[in-house]
Amino acid sequence: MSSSSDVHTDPRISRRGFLQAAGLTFGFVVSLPPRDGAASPSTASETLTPNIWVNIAPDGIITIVNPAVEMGQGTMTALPIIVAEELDADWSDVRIELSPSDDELYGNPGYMGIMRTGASATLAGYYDTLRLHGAQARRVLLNSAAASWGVPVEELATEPSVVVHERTGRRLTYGEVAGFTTMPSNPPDIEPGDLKDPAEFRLIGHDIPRADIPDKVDGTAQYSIDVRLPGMLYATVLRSPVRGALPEQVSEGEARKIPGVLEVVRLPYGVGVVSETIEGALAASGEIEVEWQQVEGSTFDSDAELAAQARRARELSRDGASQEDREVESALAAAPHRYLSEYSTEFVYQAQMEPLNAVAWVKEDGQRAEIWAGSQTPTYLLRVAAKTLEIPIENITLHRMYLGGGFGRRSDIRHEYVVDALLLSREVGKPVKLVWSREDDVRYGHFKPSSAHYLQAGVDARDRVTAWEHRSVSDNVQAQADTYIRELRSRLGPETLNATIFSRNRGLGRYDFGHRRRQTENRALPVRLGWMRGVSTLLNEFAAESFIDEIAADRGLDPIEFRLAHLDEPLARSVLKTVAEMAKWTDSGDRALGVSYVSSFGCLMATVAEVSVDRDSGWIRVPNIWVAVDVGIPVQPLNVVGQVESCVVYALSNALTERISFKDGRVQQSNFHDYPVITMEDTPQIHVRVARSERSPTGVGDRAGLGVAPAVASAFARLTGRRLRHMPMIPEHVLQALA
Amino acid sequence: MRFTLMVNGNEKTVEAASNTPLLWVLREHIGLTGTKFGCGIGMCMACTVHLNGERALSCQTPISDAADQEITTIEGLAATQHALLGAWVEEQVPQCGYCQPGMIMNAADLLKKNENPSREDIVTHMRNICRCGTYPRVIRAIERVATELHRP
Repeated sequence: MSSSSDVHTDPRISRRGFLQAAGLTFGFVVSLPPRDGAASPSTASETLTPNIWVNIAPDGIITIVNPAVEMGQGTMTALPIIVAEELDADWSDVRIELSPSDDELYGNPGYMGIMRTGASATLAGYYDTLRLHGAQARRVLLNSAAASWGVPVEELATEPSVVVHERTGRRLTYGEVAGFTTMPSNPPDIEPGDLKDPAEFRLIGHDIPRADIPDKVDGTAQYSIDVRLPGMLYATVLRSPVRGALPEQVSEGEARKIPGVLEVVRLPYGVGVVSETIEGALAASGEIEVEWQQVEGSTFDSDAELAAQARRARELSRDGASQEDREVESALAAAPHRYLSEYSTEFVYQAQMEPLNAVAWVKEDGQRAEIWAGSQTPTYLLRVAAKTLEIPIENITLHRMYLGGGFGRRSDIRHEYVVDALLLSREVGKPVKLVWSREDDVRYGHFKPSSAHYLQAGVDARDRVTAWEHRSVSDNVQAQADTYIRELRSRLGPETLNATIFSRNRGLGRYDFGHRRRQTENRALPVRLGWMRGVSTLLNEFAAESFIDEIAADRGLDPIEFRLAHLDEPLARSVLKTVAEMAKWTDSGDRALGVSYVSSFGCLMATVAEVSVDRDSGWIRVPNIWVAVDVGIPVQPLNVVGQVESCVVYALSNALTERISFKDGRVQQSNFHDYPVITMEDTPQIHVRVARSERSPTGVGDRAGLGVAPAVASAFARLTGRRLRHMPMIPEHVLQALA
Repeated sequence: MRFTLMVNGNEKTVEAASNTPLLWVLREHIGLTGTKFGCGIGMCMACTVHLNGERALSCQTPISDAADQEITTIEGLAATQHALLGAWVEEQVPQCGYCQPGMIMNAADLLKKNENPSREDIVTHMRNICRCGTYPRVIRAIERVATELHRP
């Protein structure tokens, strides 16, 4: 990748990077506390680079790169800590930089080798490799110090950032060793047995203040929307409100007369405005009217789709298709107690706080480009940019920025906001900041699809579930959002696929429900769809966990005991028992509590929600939520708690208020007034307990809210005797249920 | 039109249409990007600044209403070493961080009017949207500052 020019005004954001010598470019530098004086990156020239993850300068500054995106989940601290732990670095010596965007070097081994931050895969996927490379860097220093002192390396030990020879009392700081060390041509091999005993961890499992926070409280943290370049222009874009429709007629209105407006640009898929000011660009796009083609999606109606999905879920059947099917059917038929229930959920919107935007600068007659953007999939972004400009990826420099929220919206392959910025910058030959208004962000959104669920269970005379069937109908987001993954999957061998964090913990802590059948149907909807926090698991668990509660209630059983009776896994039993204790479950008295248990990608969680309802307005109040979670080793425990709180608030908002609807293919919502999300007032007291664990870390930031909706619905049922089987549980539906 | 603004104690002259939201003037004309754009309709409060010491939504404030008045942004508040910033670090509040400048500006307004707010006062005043759900820690950070203010 090409090197980039220094255009930032913030002195802490630098273009420096030790790997530049190797032809790589870094994003920006995050300085760790203390921020003044010592915090500036090392300026020493003779630095030691043991591997692609770490660099040690003679002045003692240790630079560690973060391959992941920082969108609030804390990777900027948690990943470098893993390297620093095995390196045995003094954390105050550490500076953190974002890695270059290159799957070959920095791809997540737990995510098919791509640089993708999402699905709670980051910490789980990088943990082993970061430990090994941290240990390797330490070994380089030890070998070098041993050679210099003429002693066997086995006699050496380290203290934070110091190599020590105890027998002779000699000491060398890491910086001193780096100063005289030449990297061996073959870096030392490290095996898992060379790693620290977790009991010796000083950083992992101990709370370290997050590296990104100081800049995030004084307004200096840089998101792509904050980038300002000399000569930069501003742009907005009108895209089709209906997926795939192209412009037929464009009326520019008074757009060109608005002060500052320079160009109104016809794009293959819409119309762009380029202006000297952002206010000019926003005003001009309001002037323009476009008639769009009629396409398949132009008649899409989300209410009709919900009904169709429910119908399909009922019809879905492969009766007798296989031995497994026949077993489920005969177990259902034989069960003395049979249950059947249907659930559904609506479209939802990520609503990340920073509307989508990008800064692009296409130079040299379109042959080179520089991009500033916040993306969960930076290498996808590069692929799309290269395709858009028809130039090699090597000619594009991407500056990875902080993300003002991701929640999946910035994880799919399309990066249409980057395409907008690139095309308009190429058109005017100047750097362009492309901003989507909130209305654009909703109108052109990539939503989580609606879903319908049809569940059946058979329960025997001893109250054991002997047959379980869950049919669901929705859309396969991947077909739109992740075409690259599909290609990749077909190329990769089973070894790589089995190493994904999705495969590793498959089946961990799953209920023993006798014979099970899971059927899904994807309907290829003609609207824009994308990834969103909790993905389809959140919808499936709303249905499945609520259904379990229905069965337990009908059998007159305690819903925690009922679950425990079907769970052998000690970790699973432990989170359920813990949450029961936290919420004082057995003493519930007149409080209406509901519980759920979910295991997903190795993250196990039990959730209890306390619910009351305003019977006049239909508004559900949730004063308290308790979550017991087992994420494996909590690398940063306080941050895990923060992520659980975050997931709970987000999932509760999804559960209570959020829905996107379509009429004539157009999104009916436009901003926070008609897409309400919960604020502080509706936020419960959230009580979190994180299990002490020695398992390898799993993820949490995408997962920990999976149990919220069913816990709330079950508490509501306990309180009122009525079931809410549709999400969101908005007042209208609550009042209907209570009527 | 030409407007003179007093931003964080500095005089700034800006050329803009009189209905230009103060938000864009601060961010793009003057370069104070700590004030954030979230919704443009005055609902998310990410754009909160202080106008003559009172909270104001800069996306809803035309530059003509802000001319010749004292404007404080997060950068100005940070320069005063306001206790809220320290509390925000202590409580490790921000996640993605995007809404936090507006959150802090609104909290500063609350504490100015009510040095010892109850939880109820806090949640009533703090209508800011945070999709990362940092609300519990925001409450704790505000309570921390209020407690410090009332330490004998």
